[in-house]
Amino acid sequence: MNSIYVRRKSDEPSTVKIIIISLVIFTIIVFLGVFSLMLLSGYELKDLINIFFDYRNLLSPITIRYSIVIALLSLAFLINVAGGFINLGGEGLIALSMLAFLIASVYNLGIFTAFVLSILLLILWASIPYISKVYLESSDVLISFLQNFIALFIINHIVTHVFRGELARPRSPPIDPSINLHYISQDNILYNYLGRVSIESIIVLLVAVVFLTYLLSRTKIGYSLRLLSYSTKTASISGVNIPRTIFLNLLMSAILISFASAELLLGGERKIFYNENAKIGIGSMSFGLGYVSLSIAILSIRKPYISLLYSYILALGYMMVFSSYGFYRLILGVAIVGLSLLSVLLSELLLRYEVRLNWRLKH
Amino acid sequence: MAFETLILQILSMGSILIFGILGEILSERSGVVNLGIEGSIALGAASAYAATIYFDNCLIGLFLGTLSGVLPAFLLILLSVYLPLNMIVVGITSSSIFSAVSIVIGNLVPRLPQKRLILSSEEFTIYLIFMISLMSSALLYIVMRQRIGLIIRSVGEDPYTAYSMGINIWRIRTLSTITSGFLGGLVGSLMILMPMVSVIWREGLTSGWGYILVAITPASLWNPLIGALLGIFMGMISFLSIAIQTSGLIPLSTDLASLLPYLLAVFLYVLIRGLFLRKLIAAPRALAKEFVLEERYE
Amino acid sequence: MEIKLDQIIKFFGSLKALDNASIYIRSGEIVGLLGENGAGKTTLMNILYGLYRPDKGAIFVDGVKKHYMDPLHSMKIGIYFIQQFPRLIDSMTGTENLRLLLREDKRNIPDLVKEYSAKYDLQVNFNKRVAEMTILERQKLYTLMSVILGARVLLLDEPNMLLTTDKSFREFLRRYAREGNSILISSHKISAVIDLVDRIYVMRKGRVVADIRENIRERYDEILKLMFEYGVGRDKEYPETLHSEYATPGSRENIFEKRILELKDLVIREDIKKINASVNNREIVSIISIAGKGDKELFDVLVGFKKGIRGKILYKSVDISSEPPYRRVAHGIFFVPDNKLDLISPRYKIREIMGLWGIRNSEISKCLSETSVMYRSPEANVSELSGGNISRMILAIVACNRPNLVIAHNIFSGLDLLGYEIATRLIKRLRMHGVSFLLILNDYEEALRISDRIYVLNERGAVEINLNEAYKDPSVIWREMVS
Repeated sequence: MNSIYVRRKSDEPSTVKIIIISLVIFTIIVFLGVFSLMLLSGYELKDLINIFFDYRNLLSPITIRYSIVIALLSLAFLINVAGGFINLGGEGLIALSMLAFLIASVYNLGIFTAFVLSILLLILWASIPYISKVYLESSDVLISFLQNFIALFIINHIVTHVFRGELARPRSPPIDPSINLHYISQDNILYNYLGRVSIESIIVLLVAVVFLTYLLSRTKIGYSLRLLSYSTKTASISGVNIPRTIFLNLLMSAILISFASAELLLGGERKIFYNENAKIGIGSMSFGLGYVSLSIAILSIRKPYISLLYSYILALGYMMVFSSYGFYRLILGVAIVGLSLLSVLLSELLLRYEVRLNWRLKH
Repeated sequence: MAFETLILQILSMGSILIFGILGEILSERSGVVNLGIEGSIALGAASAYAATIYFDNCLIGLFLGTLSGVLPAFLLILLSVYLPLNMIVVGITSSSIFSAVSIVIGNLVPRLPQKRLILSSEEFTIYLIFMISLMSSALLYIVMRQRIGLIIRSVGEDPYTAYSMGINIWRIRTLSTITSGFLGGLVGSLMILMPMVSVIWREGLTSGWGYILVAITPASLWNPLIGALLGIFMGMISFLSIAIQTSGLIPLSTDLASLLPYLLAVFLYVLIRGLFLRKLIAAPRALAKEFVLEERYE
Repeated sequence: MEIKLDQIIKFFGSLKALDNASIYIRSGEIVGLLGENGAGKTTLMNILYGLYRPDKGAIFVDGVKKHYMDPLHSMKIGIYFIQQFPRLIDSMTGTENLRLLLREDKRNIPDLVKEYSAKYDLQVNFNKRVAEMTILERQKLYTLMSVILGARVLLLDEPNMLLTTDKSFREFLRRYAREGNSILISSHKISAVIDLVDRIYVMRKGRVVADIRENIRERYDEILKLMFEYGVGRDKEYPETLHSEYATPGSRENIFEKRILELKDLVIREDIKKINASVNNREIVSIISIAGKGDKELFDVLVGFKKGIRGKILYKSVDISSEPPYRRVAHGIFFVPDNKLDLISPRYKIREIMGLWGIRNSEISKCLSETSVMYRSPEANVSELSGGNISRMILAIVACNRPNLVIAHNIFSGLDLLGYEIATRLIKRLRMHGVSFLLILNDYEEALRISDRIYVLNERGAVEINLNEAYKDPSVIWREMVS
């Protein structure tokens, strides 16, 4: 009947295999895809080669900064995915977190309260798809994805009508200097390589990598968390306190997302911009990072430290997006979402499934 | 706004959405959630626009636009029907990629007002298309009650049993998904060509409609007749936001108006799932479950 | 039609499920395929029908060689498979299921059903939804459907209850074979098939160890020995002495009269009257029912997956009826579901599952040796374990965790004979150490062998059985189950 024979592999692929295969696929698909789309849109081949193969990009401050942001986001979604929540709502969550910082700035609440506010808001927002999935068996992917649009439109409304910084263009007022993290000073030699990155983010990232690797594969809490991805039935019958586990999962990821968006917002323009592409589900502050880091999370689920490597590669990809202009950026933004997800799917396919084409074995 | 014009607008948007819902109902009955429909709609709109401008003929535009809707469905079928990758993620992937492609296509021609689909008069066209959409809904309903409908339902309920009964799961899912893709292309094309609804194409014109349709399909209880009602209802919602804004009754900004359909979609979806869990309604049991010939557990 | 399976080898991961197994069936024959759980009978049938593909070996149909079969093709040539849990679309009626299979829509189904029912004296209600049918009804339904569709070969997997209790079904099988059709019946109960079959194949550990053709009825003990390496079979007549060894009236002094679990006027399904039952401290209590007649709902309500329609569940006099499952587990209740994989996730490593239940790395090997679980290493995935070993692993976790109460649905399913003995001894030993058991079972012999008290679950609720009568004549239980 079916000429393709598919079976799930019983053994776990080795780390080396995972890295090599997913790296190759990731790189090929994302770069090839972006490359061809840009060609089709009228770019000159010459210009493209200049953009793509500029070695200075490898260690530029923007690249490193974005690597850290993407890595933080990836680890956040890794926790969600480990708990069975495929969280496609990254764009909306990042936007809402920035909103929390804006509110803290407007009402002079200080950086600590800003974080608390952000964490609470994110937990509430992300609990909707997660809880619906666990208790109603609905599609967490679909709901979290649709919520992006809602969040982005809400932010648009707020920067246009509620907290508007300029009359000429819709955007928020600048974030108060009191809301700040500790950045590498410009005199420091590291500044040339790392750029305007905060010490806190670096520390949180490193701690998170170690902590997650240990937590998920060696502790009872980790096992309980992961059981929710297998089945709610199994989790409840194994004595897992489901509401508490959901809360812990969302708490940990909310903390990481808050740091990532703080890094994006406070280390950069310090204003929230209008989301022109809200209709497509892409925020102007996050440029599709929410989707991309989810893809990385799915790939690094067994070995969290691999996400650092992928984050770096994606940051390079983003460098290329920023070197382009106009509506091309739109195409690329959309394409990066699709292409990064596609490469995850294909990697998963090659790594975890055995596919055989059967035309020899006819009846 | 004259009452008659309002009715025409609702009917025109409504019939377009009915086609989309029918396509999604069909594919979901066989177990496939076609999130690629977002890409089909985007691609359909861009292709219809480009073809209409290029050939200066809206019928060619309609034809090519509908045809192009099949492309995102192909990717979904390859990766989620023949291979067992998560069909929701694949659907979003496919939609993203083909939305990007649609932007490229739409920009291949100069930005001009396109010829709309008008047969003898605007009203006649709208009523005609509306009738066709209702008839399609009735047709699907009748088909689902035949043996072929039983076969499709069995694939959506319990693919393994259907397989052991000798039914070709892959063929059924492929056919239903391709049809859904065509209908998505049709939706996109009509959004560009249908009087009262169409505007000059621009990037991101149709964005979000595909996802919204998927989210509200469960509210039709997978019944084509209820789906037709749902389409008309969503047609009303789409014009409601514009109407509220222009009438100035409630101070609703463009952004808040834009989020209404999404909010409604999420709300309806969660509500239906809640009702489903209370056994009040029944979804196809194998919906969104990729089918793999597994022999042992897992 | 002549079918031959030649030197079939089948692996599930590293487990060799079939080891050069060969059988053949001719027209007009009824062939028995006997062996205990896990011997490979069902796997062999799945390969014959085409749901599985062999790793090596071939299938010959009327002399034509095929590397593998395919359900569509099997049905086309007339091979039909009535599985242990028949594969039908639950939400549809029998008529709709038949409609799915009938290629030509001209024929009228109710007439067809009437015609064939009368011809073979097989009564089945086609208008019911399959979800509302018991397993026995489904097996009969599928059989009649196969006959209507023109089956020339019938494969029946473990139709034990049907064969032992339904005379007209046995008559039908004999008649159908006389008409020139072949029938292959697999079972682990010799008595169910012995006076029905023309030939017997015995399977053990994936191999066909015997092909018995003459004097079948007199060779019961020989067949028994071939099936079970250890000499003693689950099939044997139930001896009173075996039970009295462990739970004599005298030893009741060990049982404290405190009620650890009480079901009070519990209604789990509309068609089953209220259930009143109890488990005392250190008791082993069984509730038996026909598969599908309330056992699943009872377990789901006790776990907390479902809410009971009415009534209460009291644990140590505390009403736990509204508590979510994890709270009940926190009280000290251990739940073992029918589908063992609902408790042990195959995606985990052994070390992780044990860790989840609070068993430290250093204690793992000691714990798993309680039930002789065979495993490669604690780092190995649970998916490497065979079904029997997973069941043993669950029992090992019970042994190491010592919960207050174990509520289990078909706790012995998947266990081979040795595993069953180990499990039985373990349960009795744990009882001495303070663990109480509520076992929900479908097999009354398993219940007789281990219980202090037995309830039968049927439409009237939970009816307690007089054990002394039951030891002398076990059919008392069966009659109560089907009443």
